[in-house]
Amino acid sequence: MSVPMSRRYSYVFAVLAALAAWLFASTAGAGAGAAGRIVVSLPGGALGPLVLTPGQGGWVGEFTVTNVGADPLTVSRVALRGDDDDVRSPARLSVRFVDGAATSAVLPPGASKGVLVSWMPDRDPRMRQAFGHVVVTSTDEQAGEVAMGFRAQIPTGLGWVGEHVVSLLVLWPLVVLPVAGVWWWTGRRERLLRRIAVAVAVVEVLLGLWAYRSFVPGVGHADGNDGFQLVDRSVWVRSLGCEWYLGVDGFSLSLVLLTAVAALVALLVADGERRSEGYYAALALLTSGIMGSLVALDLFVLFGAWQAALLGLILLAGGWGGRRGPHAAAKLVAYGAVGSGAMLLAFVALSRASGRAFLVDGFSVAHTTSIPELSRTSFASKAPLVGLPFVEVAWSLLFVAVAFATPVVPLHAWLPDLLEEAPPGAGIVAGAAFVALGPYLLVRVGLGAMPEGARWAGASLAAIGALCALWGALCAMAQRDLRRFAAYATVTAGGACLYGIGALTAQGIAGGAAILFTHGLATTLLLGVTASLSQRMRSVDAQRIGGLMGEAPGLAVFTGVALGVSMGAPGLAGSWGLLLAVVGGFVRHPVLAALLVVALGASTAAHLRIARHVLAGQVDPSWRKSALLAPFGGRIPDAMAVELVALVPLVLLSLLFGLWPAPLLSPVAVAARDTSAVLDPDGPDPTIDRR
Amino acid sequence: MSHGAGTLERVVLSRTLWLIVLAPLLGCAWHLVVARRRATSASPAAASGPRALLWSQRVAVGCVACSVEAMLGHLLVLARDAGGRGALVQWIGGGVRMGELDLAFAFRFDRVSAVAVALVEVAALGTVAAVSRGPQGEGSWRAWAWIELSLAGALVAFLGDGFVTTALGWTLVAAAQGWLAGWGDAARGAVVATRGSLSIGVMALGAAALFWGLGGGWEGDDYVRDRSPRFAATQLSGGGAQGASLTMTDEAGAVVSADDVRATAVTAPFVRASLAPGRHMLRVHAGEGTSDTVLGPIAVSTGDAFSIEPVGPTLTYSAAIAQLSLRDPSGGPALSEVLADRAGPVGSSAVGAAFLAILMASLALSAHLPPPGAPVSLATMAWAASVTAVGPFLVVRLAPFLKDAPTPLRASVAVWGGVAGVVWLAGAVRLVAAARRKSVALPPAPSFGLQEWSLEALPHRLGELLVTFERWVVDAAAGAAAALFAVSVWVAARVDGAVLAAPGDAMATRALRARRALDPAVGGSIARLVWIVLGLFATSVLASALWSR
Repeated sequence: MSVPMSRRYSYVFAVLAALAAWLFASTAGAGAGAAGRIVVSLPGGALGPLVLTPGQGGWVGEFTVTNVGADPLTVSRVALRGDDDDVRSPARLSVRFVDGAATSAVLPPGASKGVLVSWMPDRDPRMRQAFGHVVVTSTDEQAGEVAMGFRAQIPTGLGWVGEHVVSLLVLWPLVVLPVAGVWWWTGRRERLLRRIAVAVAVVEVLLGLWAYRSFVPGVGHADGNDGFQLVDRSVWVRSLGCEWYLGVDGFSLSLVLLTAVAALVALLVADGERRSEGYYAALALLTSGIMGSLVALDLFVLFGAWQAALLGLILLAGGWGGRRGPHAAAKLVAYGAVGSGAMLLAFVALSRASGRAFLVDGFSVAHTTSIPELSRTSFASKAPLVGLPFVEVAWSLLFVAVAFATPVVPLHAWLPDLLEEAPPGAGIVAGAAFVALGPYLLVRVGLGAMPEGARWAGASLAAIGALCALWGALCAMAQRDLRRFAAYATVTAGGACLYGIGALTAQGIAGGAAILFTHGLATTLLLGVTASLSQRMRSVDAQRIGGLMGEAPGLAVFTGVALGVSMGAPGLAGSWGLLLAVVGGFVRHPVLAALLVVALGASTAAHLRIARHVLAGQVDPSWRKSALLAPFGGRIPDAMAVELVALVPLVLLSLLFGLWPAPLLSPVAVAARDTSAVLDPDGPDPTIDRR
Repeated sequence: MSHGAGTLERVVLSRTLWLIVLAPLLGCAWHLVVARRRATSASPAAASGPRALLWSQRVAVGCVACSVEAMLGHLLVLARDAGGRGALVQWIGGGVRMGELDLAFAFRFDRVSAVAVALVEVAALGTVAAVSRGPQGEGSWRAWAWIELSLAGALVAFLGDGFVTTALGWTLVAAAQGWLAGWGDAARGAVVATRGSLSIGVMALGAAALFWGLGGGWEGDDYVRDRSPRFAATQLSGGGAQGASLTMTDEAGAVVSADDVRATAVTAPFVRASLAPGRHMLRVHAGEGTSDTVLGPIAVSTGDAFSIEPVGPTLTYSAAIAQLSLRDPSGGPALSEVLADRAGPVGSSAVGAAFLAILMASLALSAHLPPPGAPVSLATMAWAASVTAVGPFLVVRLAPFLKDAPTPLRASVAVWGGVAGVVWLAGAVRLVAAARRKSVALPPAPSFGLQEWSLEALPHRLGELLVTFERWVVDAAAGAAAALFAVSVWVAARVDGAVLAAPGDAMATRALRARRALDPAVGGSIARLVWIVLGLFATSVLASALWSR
């Protein structure tokens, strides 16, 4: 049953991809034919970008401007792209001709002139990378303004791994795929494959921790590189104008770490049972896809990674889910196709509406798929689509994709079924990380690239968020199955997140981002415990599982902390995001803030109801005679060593961030400030620099 | 408004205020983890043996006593270093700044919080004494843990200098409230805890209204913000004789430098940092998420004392109230009069909306009648000393905002205060109806209701006197109420023979015998300890009354 579902999905994907390729190919190559009399090149004919290397007390590099025409060429300007109002590169970068300080020259036919690019960062620089373009303006009107891209990297201490850590975060989980293929081919033991998958996940977590450690919280848009760090950028598909453009900022950093941790917990806690090779391959695809979606700064990469995550999730639910797993997969296919289709259309529309841009190596393209470049495009003046304002149509299409993934009522029905029927490991990754992709997409593209659309839809977004939170909370109150309860709690959290983002204030946006992380933490914990209980008792019915406090205090603590974080109890990590969302949103939508508080009250009631049944209730006497618990003397066994190893760090993080939120919120603060400053130039907070 | 002059209280930085809260928290954790495990162990002897019970009791008494000692110690420091009129402040943690929003845990120990903390400490001692005299059994750990949780929650709420810290305290109190309500029926506990969480949510709404109301007003659906700089350099009255000084106790982590000289940079919180006489430009770098503020030039003479205070939105009580005393260069009040007339989010006054939300939250948290199944001493303490007190305390803490508030707001405060008083009275009546001996819970009830009611019903000046504890009358009244309360609980312990007899406690009878065996060794010493501390408390109240003269 699962194969037809995935095949059906593949058809939809193939059609959409073909449509996208056609649209991109018809437009992106338009700028590729700029072969004029001016040529910029690297020594030895190497491909760009120019790599700055240590020298002269900083990082320097040189490229050549050549006149290949028959007439003299006047180079009127050689300069870094960007200015004080449009900061593109880090400070202390300079460019000049090699043989002098001038930035203009006349080149006779066949002559060349070297251009020196130098970066003299501080001893302890805020930015450890420099990306940008040197633009050369000349009398060659056919070529117009040409550019040479450059990049510099201060050593990270981890060598090549450190320079490409974000790419590794995306690609490393895929190591499992060929290994699983070999295992399938040779029919070897699955237990060893699971160990390899765990080892891969451990390395992934270490990479995530290293990325977190390397991240400088105070860096913002004004520091250059569009505020992104750990950037990895190279040309991917030149004909389509697509780049392998990855990087992290305050919004994505914590989610990257969360995804890596959730994947590890999924393998350690939830999948003690033997699984086939395909399961581990699909889980790796899911993890890699989510990771790619979080760090992608190019629409093409983002779309591809999103589809990989979706495909992995569909395969997991359909192939290794419960009795109704194929049904859950079918729902996911249907909702996912709607969301993906809308997203693709939105991306194509945005790209076609964008202006001329340069790839990382300086190659000129007529349209761009780079998200930072799109953020410089004013879409408000674009021609209407289907008779409606461009911004409204494009933003609405994007919101459909956001609404699917968040999930927003009424596009939420796939999540309860998925968490109930998917294998526990897949449920953990989906409930913790996949659902974060919706609001993240909203922040990254909806707010970052289309601020006009966000301003247009802000109030509606807040209203939808508050109503969603209330709906999810009321539904959660009626759940007995812990996995379905987690799903509806996620709907509530997603609603609160959208409310915060819809406020367009720095506090609200930061609150939304914090909710994504903390709720993911809570969901990982809760679904981890659920998986443990399921393995022991073959039941996750809250009314049948009782008395956990007395029987298994370890699992009870995990459950209690998970519920506390999920409902936003002050003192635990989950409170900060909700507080920021309420306070940040109140200034714009006070009535909706009151509605959100009511929703959170209902959510608390739902959480306490579950806590009452699971923690404080009495163990059902029938369990004492159950064959499942007979090996344990009729008692529910407490957390095992592997569960402690996987879940105790999450509990400690929940407590630590509850009392000391700086590690969680500091990275978000600057990103939220920058976003709010663009979205709302006359916003309520005068301490935010809105230049 | 680039700078102004006001009268700010003398502030002393403390590094030890957290000790007041630490002991009850540790005790609660010990009882939940260690004592509970012993109680649920397979061996009945280990669960309820004299040694286990004795240790459980020792830890509880010790933790409460440590907290009391820490409180008394800080009272002495307050009297010595701050002259009784100032405050001890401590930044605990947090320290994230999102624009104007400063998320931080901070404690403030001034006379208002000192009286409240003393009240709850005495109540806790009384309850400990009462529980100690009752029968001990395998369920004793619950009572001890509950007392410590309730005490810790109330202490955090009373000491908190800001809505963030108060929310944490309220959470602990709401958890204790729910636990008590669910002593015999978990469903009832969940309902009460939900109400507690709602009250925290409503308080957050009130905090948001006050926060934004301090920085602007709503014109229809649009928020129009003030254009004032984030900070004001305020000249304090009564500077020292030697040199000039600069103080900044809010916005922990903010870096202040004079004339952009890196060597002069100091990190908040700091008190009386030296400042050279002359004209200075002060730069305040509040954090990564905010732009720098430049103040000045400020003319500094020998003997001047300046304080840098946040202006505009803040979640910190002291920073919010300090703004009320700011004067603009012409000498007029800079903010307080504006606030009263400023439009709020839904048409009402911003301060009015904030207070309405806080009053509702306060009532939701307070309107909890002791459950019939709970041990009477615990119920008494919860109802009268900790749970019901933290809500009104917030109103008391923010009372300075009411001075220039519109009449409808002040009337609503009075009505709410009256309603709260009635609710507490109803709770007392219910206790009396349940058992005549429990009527000892009655005396403390009116004191808190009186405070709220007096905000409006009495002549303004008198109400202010009562609420802000500015005169010895209130100190003495509070002291008398506390003493009466302590005596009441003590009497309750004497007359109520089944304090700890939780439903279904099969070990109660045997445990009672075990406790009696310990009585000469434990009960007597506890009694002596309680009376000693009560004496110290009475002394401190008298001292407080003397300072305010």
